[in-house]
Amino acid sequence: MGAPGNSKVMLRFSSPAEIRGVALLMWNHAGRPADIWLYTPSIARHRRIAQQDRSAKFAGTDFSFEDLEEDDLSQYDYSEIQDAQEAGEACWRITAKRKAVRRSQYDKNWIWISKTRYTPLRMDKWRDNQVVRRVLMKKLEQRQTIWTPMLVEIADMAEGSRTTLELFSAQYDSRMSESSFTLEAMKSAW
Amino acid sequence: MVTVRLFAAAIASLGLAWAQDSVWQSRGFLENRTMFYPQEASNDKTQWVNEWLLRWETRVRLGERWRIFGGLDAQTDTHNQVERNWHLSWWDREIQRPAFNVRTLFAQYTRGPFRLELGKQVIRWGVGDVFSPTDRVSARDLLSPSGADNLGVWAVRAVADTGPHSLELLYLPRFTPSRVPLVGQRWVVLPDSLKQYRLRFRGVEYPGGPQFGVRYHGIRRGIEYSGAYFEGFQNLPSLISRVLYLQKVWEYKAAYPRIRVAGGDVSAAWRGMVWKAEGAYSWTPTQITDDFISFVVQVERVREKWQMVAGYTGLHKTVDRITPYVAIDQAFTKAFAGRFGWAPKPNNNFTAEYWLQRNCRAFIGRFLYSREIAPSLRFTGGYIWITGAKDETVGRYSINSYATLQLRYSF
Repeated sequence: MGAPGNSKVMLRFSSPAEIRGVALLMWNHAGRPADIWLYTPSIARHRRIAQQDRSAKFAGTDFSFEDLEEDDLSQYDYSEIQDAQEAGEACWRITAKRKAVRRSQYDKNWIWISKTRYTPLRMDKWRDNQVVRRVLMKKLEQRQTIWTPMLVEIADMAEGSRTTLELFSAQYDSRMSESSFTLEAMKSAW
Repeated sequence: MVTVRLFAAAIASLGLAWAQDSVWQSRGFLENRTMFYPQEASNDKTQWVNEWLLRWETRVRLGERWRIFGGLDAQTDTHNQVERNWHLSWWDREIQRPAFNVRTLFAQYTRGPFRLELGKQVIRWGVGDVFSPTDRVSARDLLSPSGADNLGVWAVRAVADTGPHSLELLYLPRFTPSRVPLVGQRWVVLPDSLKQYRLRFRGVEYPGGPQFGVRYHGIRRGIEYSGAYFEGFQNLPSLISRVLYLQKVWEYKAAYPRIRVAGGDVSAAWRGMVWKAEGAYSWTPTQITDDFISFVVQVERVREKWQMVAGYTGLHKTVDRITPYVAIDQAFTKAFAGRFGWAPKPNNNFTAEYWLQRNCRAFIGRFLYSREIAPSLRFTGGYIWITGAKDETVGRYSINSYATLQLRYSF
């Protein structure tokens, strides 16, 4: 919930059974790293994730904590708009180079934007001149006039592994309470 | 644009999931734990111990504001650490572990930032992983090293949480003690001076009266801090004893003195690491336990596949009273402690934990390997090595080094 640059996110696991009740809370801030906490029900404690920990993989998936954060778009310099193809669609490929203000595991992103739907279809995340993660946005559906990828696939290029995030439903502008995004709310988020 | 859209999608899906929050949820596990002690203890010849635990937890949503949480444990073992009768324990006051136990059962009412919880629940305070001086509310099961779970306590818990600020008030009408090792088993090592006496247990004196607690927690620019005060009872027993010299009998009974604990903690992410500090002053109006300051400082760091926690736990007694008590909370202070974890694959990991007494005269190492061998089925195996000088509290347990195998099916 919240406005871009100052949003809050809570993710909770309902499956697999081993991690049911585990919850992740993120408070994003413009110009500085997000506050991130992970709640583990077996010890009834939340744990703060440090800025550098954000490169650690999240709950055995190929998403790192940083991949789940809201990205501050003002932290990039954009260049190199090129024509490209992705999944059979004509795209613009944009290079978004990270300014050195905020620490990240990535130095730049290549983003493929559909020319017809004006929505991203693919993102390559680079570090030291190598693509380390590739994100593919698939099954695009219009929800409340917004093109929404109902399937997001992220691949760890070094490991050769990938994770698929499937959205079963998506709704924008729904009413949410601020109190659902607190450390206290994490404890009963299952 | 890319990230915003992705992000929005994730938020949107979450929002709907929240709105469609199911009425009933449950989770649990069935676990088999085997421990093998290579050495016999003088008071306990058993070397193989097997334990089985079934834990089931549920949550029922009643309308927008009410939820009911409940949890049940069913367990047994081969070493009489679990009772052999069929009664259902509500109060967790048994000396052995009850075979059937209501671990949690509480109703939760939420309205905006306010939350009220009534019933049996696990309450944790503090931030320290290796030791937590302010975490004095919920009792613990310390009967054997395999347990070390927090026990539920009967409480009324009221919380106002705005996000950056939260205030928690506790009222505990009935005392729940920690469960401690059984006399006659290997985790009770008596001092040599008592070996000439027969022990006679005169029972437990449970305190009456309620307990109270209050904790403020704040978050400001990436720094988390809290202040807490608890007025209640020490959940580890003090032993009130007398020696009957002619009969060569050492008579003792367990009591739980009133204590007051004031403390706080702070944690912050700085230079790629999370730094934590926690301290508390514990004092008593009685004569049967000590007054002391305890603290922990620790740093933790997580990189892609490994994590590290390192810390120091300290203790300074301001009043040292002679009455012996089962000072498990003090025994592990004045030491360096930490953990290294390495997860080469998402479903398997190695963990090495250490505890080294400051004077280097006692050491505990815990080396574990864990692997998901089938969906929802996890194997954990390892070795716990205890060593030290015989005149040190922990060193006396050197013969209790053990190997452990654990199989857990989650559902």
